[in-house]
Amino acid sequence: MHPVLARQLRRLSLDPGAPPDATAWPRFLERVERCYVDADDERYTRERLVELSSQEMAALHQQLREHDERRFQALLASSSDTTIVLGAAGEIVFASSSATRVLQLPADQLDRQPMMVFVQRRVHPDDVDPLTAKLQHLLATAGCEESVEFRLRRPDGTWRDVEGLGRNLLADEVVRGVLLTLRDVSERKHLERTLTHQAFTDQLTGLPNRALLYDRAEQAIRLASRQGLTAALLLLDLDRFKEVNDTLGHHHGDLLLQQVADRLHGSLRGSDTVARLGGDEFAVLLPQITSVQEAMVVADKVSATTEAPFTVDGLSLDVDVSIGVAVYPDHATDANELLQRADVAMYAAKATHTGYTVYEPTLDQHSPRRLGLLGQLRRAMAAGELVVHYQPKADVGSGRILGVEALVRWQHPEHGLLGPGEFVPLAETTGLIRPLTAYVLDASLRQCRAWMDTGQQLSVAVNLSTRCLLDLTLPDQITQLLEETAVAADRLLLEITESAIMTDPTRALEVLNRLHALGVQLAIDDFGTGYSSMAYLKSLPVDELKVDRSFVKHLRDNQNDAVIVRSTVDLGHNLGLRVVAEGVEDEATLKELATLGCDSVQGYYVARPMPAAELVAWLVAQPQPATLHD
Amino acid sequence: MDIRLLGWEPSTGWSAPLPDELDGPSTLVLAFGSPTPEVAAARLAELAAALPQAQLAGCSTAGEILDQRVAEGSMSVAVARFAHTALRRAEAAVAAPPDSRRAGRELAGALDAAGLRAVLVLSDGLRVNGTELLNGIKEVLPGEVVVTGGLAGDGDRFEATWVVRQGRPTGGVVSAIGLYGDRVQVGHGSQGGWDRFGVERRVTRSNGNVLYELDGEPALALYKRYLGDRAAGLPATALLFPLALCADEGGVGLVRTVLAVDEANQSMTFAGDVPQGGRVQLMRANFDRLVEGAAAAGRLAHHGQAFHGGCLAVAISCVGRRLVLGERTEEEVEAVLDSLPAGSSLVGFYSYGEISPSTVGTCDLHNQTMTLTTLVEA
Repeated sequence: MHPVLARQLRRLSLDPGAPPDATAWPRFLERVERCYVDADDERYTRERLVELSSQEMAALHQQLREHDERRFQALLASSSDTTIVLGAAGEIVFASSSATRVLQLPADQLDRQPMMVFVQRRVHPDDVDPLTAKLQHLLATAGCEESVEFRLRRPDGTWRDVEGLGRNLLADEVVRGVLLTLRDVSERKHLERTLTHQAFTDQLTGLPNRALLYDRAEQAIRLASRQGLTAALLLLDLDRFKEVNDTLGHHHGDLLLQQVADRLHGSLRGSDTVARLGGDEFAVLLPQITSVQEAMVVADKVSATTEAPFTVDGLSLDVDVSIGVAVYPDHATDANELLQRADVAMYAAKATHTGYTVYEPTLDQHSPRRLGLLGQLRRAMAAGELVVHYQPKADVGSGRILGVEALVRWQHPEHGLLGPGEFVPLAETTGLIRPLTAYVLDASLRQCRAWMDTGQQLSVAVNLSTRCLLDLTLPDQITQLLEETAVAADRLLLEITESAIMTDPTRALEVLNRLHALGVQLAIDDFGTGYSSMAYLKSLPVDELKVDRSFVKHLRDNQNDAVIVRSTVDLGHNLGLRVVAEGVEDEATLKELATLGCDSVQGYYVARPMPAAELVAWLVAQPQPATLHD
Repeated sequence: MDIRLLGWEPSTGWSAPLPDELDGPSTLVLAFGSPTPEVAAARLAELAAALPQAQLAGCSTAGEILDQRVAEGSMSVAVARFAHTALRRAEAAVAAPPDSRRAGRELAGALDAAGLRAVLVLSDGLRVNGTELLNGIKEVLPGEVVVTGGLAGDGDRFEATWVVRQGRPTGGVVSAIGLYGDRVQVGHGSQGGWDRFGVERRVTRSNGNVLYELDGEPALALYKRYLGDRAAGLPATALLFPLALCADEGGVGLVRTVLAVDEANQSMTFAGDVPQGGRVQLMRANFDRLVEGAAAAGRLAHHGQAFHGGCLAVAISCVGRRLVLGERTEEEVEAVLDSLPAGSSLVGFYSYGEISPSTVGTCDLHNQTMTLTTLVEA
């Protein structure tokens, strides 16, 4: 039984098991009826409540929507962004009022216009295809988001940069379209371009700066790596630019740099990059060349463009450049290394005033001190710091002094007397070996003349480096020197190494033949250390073989060395050549060499190298004629 | 503590002889009824004659509660003689709602004395702004004094209420009984069981407990729309939709119930303040939750209380609950009794407003609640 009914019966003192009597019945009915009425009232109230409150909720919802819509419109109107909604077919179904500002078109003119038509008419031709592709992608891909960027032509013909974001909200019940928010970013773009230009441009010359050069060098290396090509970097430094700045002022210095920049720029291909790295340092990047030789041709060309004097404010200025050349992949594997290697080569070129230097690994091995020495070498020659010492060469049989070997020394103001090992190999890596050799030749022949004038008949031997041997102008230079000093050609002995000859045998032979024709004596230095073809040796116009000191040193205790020396002596004599032994330091060795049939000797046992003045005194002190071994 | 419950019905008279043997200065007589004032006056006079030394308090109702029964036109009486507790009665006249705070201060001032543990307040149900009345009481009494009680009712008529003053039913009166001593324990609980529904509305015009407009619309029009056919039953039927005052952050949400409507200026008068600018929401009854709320109030009131030889439980429930519960009203009374210790004596009435400490401690005017006060002596 329902608890309410049970309670009603209880309150009326009725028995649930029997019907009520006539007097109780109406009271019972009244209470039961109240329950029904209660239930009806309750249902009525509840239904009304549900209906009304849902009506109110709906009204409130509508009100909020209208409020949101008004707020949305107000936001759109005040936004600097333009909002465009495209329908599924790409037609403009909505454009916010700010469209007039950004797109320069009233919103109503945009209405229902296909977006692609607008793009064709108003967007920069270069941007039409990428933009169209993006819009099509946006329209076709649910949920897709794409950033867009394009130039827009305004009715007055000017271009504006527009940027924005597109979102495919076709599935969004509220939007049902592709939402484009666009904004005019012209000012920002302009600033960006200016800043980018500034960041990658040298302000003085308008040339690319170091950052941009670096970037392009990286690109060039990537490209060269893919295509199996070569890329070269030329690093230029103006010689004596500091003097221009110091004496004429920065203004003139700047003007000069601008003119240098113009000439460099004018002398190169469009694909090459000319950059100013700072100060008086320039760089040329040759992204696509076929060989190191091609880079050297360009280096020559660049060098030549600066030969003609520059005119700055009516002043004529001579400018020499030093160029360091480094090549990918020969010298470097990346842009950083390429710059560094070109820098090393440039430094060497500058130090030696030799125009340009192609990087080679030996350049790197030089300590800063030695590179510094290289820089001072030319000045040292002019300042007379280079001195030539002479080491006597004696006849084994008679002990007579036949001649001397000229050996260069550097009386350095800071480092003291430097031996040739300290700076000659360095000079050989650059063009500086040529003036150095010329200096020694000149000094030696003048000394020879001086001795002759005092009655001493001595021949003089000068060492020739590879570069000098291959210098086709050398015979002419020597002819001139001999004439100037009035020294007979056969008083001059030029010592050449086997390896120097083998670098370019044809050219070497040509030079040697011409020297021989002059009457100049020729000797093969350090014989036995290199590879010599017997047949070739026969064809060379040489007069003397110098047995390398390494064989002489251990002559008495190394049977093999003795065999080599004997063979050399025999070989030389068979070819009609004199055989000279170097590095003789004691009497026993001398006697052994005499036994082996060596013609003449050189070494500390005979005499150390000594200045010209000492030599004369030494010669006078010698028993004349004397034998060395009594 | 010695307690007797007795009822008076028009058809059967007193249910038992008046317990004159319990008379004394520490005897409390509570009489709640809804016969005509004349009949009520006669019954009160009988009580005063039988228990001349006792403190007699009572008021008109919208239904009397006695034990597990709810009736109308009857009187529910509890006679409780305290063994260790002193009583004092105070009464104050209230001519109109603006008088309420002063009346509160006056009552509290009369009762404020050493040992005061609790105050039971019975107030005119129509001429008093309950919120202001309590504000006046709170201004004077220390925070630890428990204040409970209710506003007198007038069935579903909302015309005239009375409170016992000097033994007679009188309009425009607030009375209070003070309980003194450290043996008396006063428990209290107050629970609603209503659900908020629909949109939140802004109180765009109000003045104290008189509400004019919600969201710019006359409040009365809103109620009439919701009530539909049942608007004919106003103001009683407005009790179907109490107003929930939306609590500010950290505050307590109160419920307000309608006392009167004014067709002329489309206003509604509530039992407590409806602050202008605040937010309100309509509420509706949920049958089961009303009953469960009543049980919860009982459990709260009894919680932690000692029980030796008798518990007088005074149930003051809102007329709005009765209106909703209808024939099932007694279910909530049964639920209260079930939640109290066996042997508890329950007396009470359906009111136009309930007074009880809120969860944060200070007493407040509540509406649409079952508010229970339990008195025991340890």
